[in-house]
Amino acid sequence: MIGLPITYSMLQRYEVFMKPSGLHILGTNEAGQDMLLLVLSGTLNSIILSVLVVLGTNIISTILGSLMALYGKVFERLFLRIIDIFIALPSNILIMAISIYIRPSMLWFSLIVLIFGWAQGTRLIWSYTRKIVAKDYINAVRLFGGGNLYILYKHIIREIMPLLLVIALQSARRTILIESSLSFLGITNPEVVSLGKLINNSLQFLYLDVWKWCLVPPLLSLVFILVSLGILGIYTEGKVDRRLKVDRDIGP
Amino acid sequence: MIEISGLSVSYSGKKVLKDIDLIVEKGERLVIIGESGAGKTTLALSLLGLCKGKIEGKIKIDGTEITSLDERSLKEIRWRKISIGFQNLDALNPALRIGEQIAEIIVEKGNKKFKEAYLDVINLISLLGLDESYLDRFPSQLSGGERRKVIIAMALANSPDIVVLDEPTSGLDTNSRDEIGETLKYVLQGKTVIINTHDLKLAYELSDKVAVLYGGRILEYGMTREIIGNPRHPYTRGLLRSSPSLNRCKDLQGIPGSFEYRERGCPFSNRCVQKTDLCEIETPKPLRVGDRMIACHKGGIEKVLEVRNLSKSFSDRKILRDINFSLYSGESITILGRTGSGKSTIARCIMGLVEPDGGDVFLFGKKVTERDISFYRNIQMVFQDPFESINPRFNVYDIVSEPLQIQKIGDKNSHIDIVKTALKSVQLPYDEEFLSLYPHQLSGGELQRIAIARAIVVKPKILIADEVTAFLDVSIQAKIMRLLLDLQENLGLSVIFILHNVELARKVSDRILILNDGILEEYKELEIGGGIYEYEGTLGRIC
Repeated sequence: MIGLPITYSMLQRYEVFMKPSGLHILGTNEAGQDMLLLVLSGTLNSIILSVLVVLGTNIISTILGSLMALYGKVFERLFLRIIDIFIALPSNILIMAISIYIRPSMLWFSLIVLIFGWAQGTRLIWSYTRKIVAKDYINAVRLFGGGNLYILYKHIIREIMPLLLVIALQSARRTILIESSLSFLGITNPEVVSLGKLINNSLQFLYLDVWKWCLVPPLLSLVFILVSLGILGIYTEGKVDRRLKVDRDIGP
Repeated sequence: MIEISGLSVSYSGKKVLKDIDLIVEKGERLVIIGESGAGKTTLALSLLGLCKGKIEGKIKIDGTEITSLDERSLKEIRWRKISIGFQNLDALNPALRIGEQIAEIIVEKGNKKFKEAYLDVINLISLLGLDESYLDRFPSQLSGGERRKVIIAMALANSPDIVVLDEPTSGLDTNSRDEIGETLKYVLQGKTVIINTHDLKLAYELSDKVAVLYGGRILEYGMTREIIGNPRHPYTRGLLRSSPSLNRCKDLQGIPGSFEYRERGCPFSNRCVQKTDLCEIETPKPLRVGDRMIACHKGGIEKVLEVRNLSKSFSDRKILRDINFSLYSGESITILGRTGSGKSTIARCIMGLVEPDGGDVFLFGKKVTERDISFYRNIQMVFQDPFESINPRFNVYDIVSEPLQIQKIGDKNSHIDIVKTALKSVQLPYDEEFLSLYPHQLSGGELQRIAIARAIVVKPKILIADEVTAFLDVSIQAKIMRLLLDLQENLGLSVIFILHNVELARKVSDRILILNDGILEEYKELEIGGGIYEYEGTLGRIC
């Protein structure tokens, strides 16, 4: 991808530690770069990363989760154990360790996060699909000769759509958290603009006045993103749950 | 003893009797069962040489070939060797008194004087339960039943060895019928008898052997007990199902279609549920199959489904132990059992939704190794709960057309027509508005009908109805059951009902199988008499 993620080298340098003014609404940082642009770039990079991970997680969760429930038997049991293993892994530490070792680019980093994050969504989809598959109307379709893929396409996908939103929000939140944490620790690619890194850099200059515009904006942004994703996640989960419950009981 | 071989009779080029072969031993009673137009009367008349049509083949009575006799020789035989009681009550001369009419016969044929003959007549008439005063009356002064008795008396006049009775009880009320039936049992002792009737109960009570006649041909022929107790020809079975006196439990069902004259091919083929192309081209000859002669290319009602040694356990509990049963073409059976006895499990094992521990399923004689699309075109199932067995997000059209889409039957255009036909046959509306309704807008009864429509849209031969009315109100239950029976009759479906209610089972099944403690037993009818069905089994009387 050209121009993405946004790196420090892309941003113009001005005078260092300039106070917030008409030209630079949030002032400049220790390298003279516009703070507002930095915060926006960091946010954008986080969004791109999340999108990558969410896409991957949702695709895997949907396909794997529902096929597990449809095919059942050995296939289902095998992957359930695999899911258990992956969920039990200390993902954050492992991501940290791997990142230290191979210093991944954004693309590779998203892959690593995906590897440690696909299991939860998949299990959620699996447990919900299982309930659908147990219904007689799925059996009826089998009796017409409908195979598992047909059932997935015609009967399951529509039902699990709402779940995908829940999974997306959870994934996004986890991804941004781990990425910011690692960039805060300085483990990720130092060229890439990241909110965590911005926060870390500003911590060095706490004794100066500059923290007011160097530390606070990125910190607030990060907190805002994580909290809103969290609240949205809880809200949609509740709504989806209720809606799923209602759908199941549809009819007199 | 009567020997009929290759008898064919035609009137103005139209064959009314075709290739009849029958043997009646001395002292035997044969009933010929058939509906109007089957050719019974023609056969009866031919035995006395009274038939006006063109005759091919031979009839031998005690060695004498009467088909080649002239009128004078025939006159010698009539009422000495063989007599007939006509169907038509107008056979009585309205201008003569009863006593005179009967005596006339004895005078002419028995070479007796009138006075002697009259004494015989008095005896005869009393045998039939009429007293002397009747002899002075004219036919118009007698009731239908009494006139029938007179005709029978006439047939017995001069004590011929062989008596042929053409519909002795037709047009009579039940009491008269029963009376005449009793009477006949008594007065026909020692004689060789041939009776034409469409009354199966009479046939069962009076005869040793029965021949079923349809479209001028014999379809089934054998010992009465076997034929009526266990009919193997689809037509005979249809007759039994239409007879209220013999079919006391299952609701009356007719035979679809009506008689169509055909030059060749099986005369019943247009109404037969298991017909093949061969049946319309080649006429099946009566062949010996087991204990009877039957004219059917398939050797009688075929077995469509057979389950052998089916067993299944769920976590150490044996639900099914070596289940064996068969389903025949065009019949409905019920698997009866308490809740949780495993009845649905049998259905699901057959359909392949549950993997049994052991056992095999045979479809049309062939072992089922994998359940592919062709399997699911032959056998379908309707589930208990219509709200669970139908996707709430699909509208009526999607629901009913889904099997067509999966099985790739026809294209989009033909689907609409097939769906509409299916909805019509389950008595639901089939306009655009109804087709776009969703399940939550429909009642349980409507939804279950849709489930049935969906199941029959692929035109299966076998339908399993798994407690299909369990979730419905009683009044709707009756309608749905009635619908299924109608579908069975019209589409020639073989149906397996799964029920827990004995009374309901009685109303809808030809046979009942009881599942108890993992074992399947058949409710067997042992006696058909006095309106009571006895059975072999654990549960008690069913009717």
